[in-house]
Amino acid sequence: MTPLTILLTLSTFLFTLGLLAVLTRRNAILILVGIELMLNAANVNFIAFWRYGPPDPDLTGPLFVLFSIAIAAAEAAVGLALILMVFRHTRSTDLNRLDSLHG
Amino acid sequence: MAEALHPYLPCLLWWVPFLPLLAGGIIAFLPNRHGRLASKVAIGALLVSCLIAMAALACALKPVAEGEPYRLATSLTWFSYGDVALKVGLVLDPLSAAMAAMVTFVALWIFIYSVGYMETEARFGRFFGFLSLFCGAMLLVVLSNSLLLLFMAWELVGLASYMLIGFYFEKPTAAAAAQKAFITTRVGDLAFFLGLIWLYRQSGTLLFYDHGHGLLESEVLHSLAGAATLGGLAVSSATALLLLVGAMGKSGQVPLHTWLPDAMEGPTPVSALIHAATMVAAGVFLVARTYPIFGIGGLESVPLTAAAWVGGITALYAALVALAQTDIKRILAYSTVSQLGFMMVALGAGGVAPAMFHLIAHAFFKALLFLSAGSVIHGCHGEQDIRRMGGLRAAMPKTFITYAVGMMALAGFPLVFSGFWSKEAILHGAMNWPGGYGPFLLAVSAALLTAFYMTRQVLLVFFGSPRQPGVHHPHESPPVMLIPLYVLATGAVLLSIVGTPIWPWFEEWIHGGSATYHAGALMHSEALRLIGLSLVIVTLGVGASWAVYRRGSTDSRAPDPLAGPLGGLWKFLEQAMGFDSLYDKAVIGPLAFVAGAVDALERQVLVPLMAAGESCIKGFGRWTGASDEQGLNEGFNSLCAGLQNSADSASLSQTGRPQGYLRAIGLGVSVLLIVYFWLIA
Amino acid sequence: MVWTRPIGRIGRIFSLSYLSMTPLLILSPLILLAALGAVWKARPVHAALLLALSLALIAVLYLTIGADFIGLVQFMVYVGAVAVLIVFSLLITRPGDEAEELARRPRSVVTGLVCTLPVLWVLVHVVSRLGNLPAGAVENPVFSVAHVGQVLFTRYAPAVLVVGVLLTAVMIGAALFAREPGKKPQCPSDS
Repeated sequence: MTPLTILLTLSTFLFTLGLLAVLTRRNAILILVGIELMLNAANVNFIAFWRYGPPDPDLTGPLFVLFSIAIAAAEAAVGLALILMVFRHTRSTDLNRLDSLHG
Repeated sequence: MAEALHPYLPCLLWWVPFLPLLAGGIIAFLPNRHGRLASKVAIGALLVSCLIAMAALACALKPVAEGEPYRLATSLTWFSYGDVALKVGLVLDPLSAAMAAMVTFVALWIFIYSVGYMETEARFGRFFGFLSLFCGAMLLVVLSNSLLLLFMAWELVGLASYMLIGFYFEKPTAAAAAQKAFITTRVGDLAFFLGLIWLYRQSGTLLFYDHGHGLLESEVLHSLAGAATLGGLAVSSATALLLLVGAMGKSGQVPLHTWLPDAMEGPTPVSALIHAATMVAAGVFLVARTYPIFGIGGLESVPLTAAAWVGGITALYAALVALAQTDIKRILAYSTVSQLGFMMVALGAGGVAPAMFHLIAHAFFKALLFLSAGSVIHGCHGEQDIRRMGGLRAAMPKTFITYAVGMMALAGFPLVFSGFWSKEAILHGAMNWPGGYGPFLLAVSAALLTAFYMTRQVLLVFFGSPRQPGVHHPHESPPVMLIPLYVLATGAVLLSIVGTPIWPWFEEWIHGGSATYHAGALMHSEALRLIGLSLVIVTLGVGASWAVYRRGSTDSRAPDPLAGPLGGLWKFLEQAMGFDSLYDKAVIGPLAFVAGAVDALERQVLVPLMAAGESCIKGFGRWTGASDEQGLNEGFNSLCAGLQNSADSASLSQTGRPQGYLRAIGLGVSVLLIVYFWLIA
Repeated sequence: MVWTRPIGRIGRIFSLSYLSMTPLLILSPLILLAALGAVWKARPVHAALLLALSLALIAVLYLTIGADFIGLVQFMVYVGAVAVLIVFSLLITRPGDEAEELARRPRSVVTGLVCTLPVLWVLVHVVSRLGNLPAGAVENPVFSVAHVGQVLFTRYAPAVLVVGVLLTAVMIGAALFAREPGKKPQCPSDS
């Protein structure tokens, strides 16, 4: 039971929960919630290994997390903008209603 | 003058046959409306040809040496294969010169006659085209130095005869007669060709005279005599017999004579030229030309004996049949057959000279008779049955005179007419023949009957009273038709001069000797006996006929006075002794049966087989089509449908819902990784 | 603070810097609970707020570990911007139909678990295989912002530029997407 193990366990379960949300939720915005959770799980993983793993003077972990946060934010913005656009057309955020590309 | 012409003769001689052939060719391209022009072309060409022939005759009069007749032979290579060459050429000797002159002269006057006779004919031009073709071919036969060229011209003559007999081809009888003539002569031609091939194989040459290597020259003749074939027969005899059969076909000897009477379906000038004067004489000419081959083995060699007997039988047969005929041209046709028989007897029993003399004389008076008969028919507006004529002497005096001249020549009226002297020469030869008296007796009987039936004909046509007055209005013919008659009549008389025993010029000339004037030849007991015999024959024949037919009946439907007493024999003679029905049963019947059988075979067996095969193929085609339709197309369609269905089913997985896709991805990746760990672990 | 006295067997387990592990031990379950709530709750606003809570807790976690800069960035960006953004979009879209969501829940949960549990198993498997990693921690590794800036703009400068461009594009794009349709952009001079 090292700190690393705890954090890795946390990251694992967080990722799983986020995946569950993505696969299960009906509302598009709540799927985005799940995506944010997954991203955060990955960030936790990075920080954990930086803090409790082999020494890293290059600050690879935190910097990666920095970029990850930036991109996650950008992605959330665009995603929500898209959801709003779709909402204007279909008056609903239900992802199951956007199946016009079905086979 | 003859000497001056001599160097040009080899070239000039070729023009004699080729001018009429050329005229025929030109006429073939003339449109039908230029009939008069065609006749002028034909007559002009023949006139020039006649002049050249006369000039050649003049050149050929002098013999080269004692016993050696004048002979000018040309030859040129037709084609060569390997080191063997086929040569053709022309020969000018007394035989061919006399024939050429006769043919051109008689043909010329018959052409002139035709201008008047065929005046109303629609195909006037074509008639002259065929006549010119015939003349050219006949002249080639006569002048040929090569047996091959002779044969080719022989066939051409047969073709011209076919076209002219069937000139009125709309008449079924005319078309049938033309076919009959062609096919019957073909039988003879087959034998001729076989003989030709055999001679070529045996001797290696087909030229008659070729500087000592020709067929009729001693070198080849010896080899022909020496070689023997089946039955101990010499090759010369065998080939000569084959050539004789060919001659029999063309010259209408029994049994290949049946076409000649039917050939009278052609126009009268055709009958005169072809079937009296020239073509039918070609057979006799062939034997005369190849006489050296016939004569190997002496005067009673096998071919000569055969010729004599065949001729004799023919002569008697035809004379008997002529008694019972009622068509004016048919009587003359049978008389032609009979006279040709005489010529064969002459060849077999007497030699070339009497036969050729009789041939030339016969040409003149038979042509004369035919043309006069044509004049009669023309005057009677197409009537040809002598039972319906009568008393024409008053209506057509000039025709009567010419006809009488011809009749007397044919019957052999003494002294003045050439027919008398020619017949006398034949009987003389037959009497002295070492092979027996058979042909002689046959010839004598035939001569008797000839006189009888010719007198009968003249009496029935020209004497008595018209049997059908008011129906026909006989009139005399125009001058264009009468003048040829006069010319020919004069010839018939004048020819006698060169054939009498007193001055046997013709005979000597043929054999290359010089004729001397034997004033006392007639005083020989033998000669006197023969002249007496001839006189008796003629008197008997004419007198008997006069007795029977003098009181011509006035009824055209009354039976012939001889019909009653002779009864069945008369009927038999009228049917020409049943030769036609015999051929019908023996030859045509079986052939028709075979033809019918083959036709039935084809119809019942082959055609159904073909139909079965056809339906098989069609069925196969339909089957392949169906299999293609059902099998391939359906299969392909179902395959495509199956693909489409599976694709449709597969596309159901594309729900269009991202969550579904994500679930699949997640599941898939994790499963892969599990499998990976499981394998690695 | 240093915990020096082991407490028997359990103490031996927690012998290593137990105190430094305490925040982790407390925060981790809380984060998981908040995340579970964010995933589970049917009412969207609740779920969004619970997400914000979990994000905030994660930021606290970063702070306790020693990644101060990151923790603060996490607060500012995630909690301050992303969570707020989510809440605002929920306000705009006004989703309802919790009943339908609840009705569908059993089936969708089963499907989701079926697809998620293998992933979980894989991850656990990998983590348990990690092996010998130094159990101890680097003692208080710190980094100053100046250090971060230095590393960023020398070693990772291209990445920074790219991210800058990306953010610009995202900003423009999101603005374009989200505006009222049919309305033309107004020039300041007009009106």
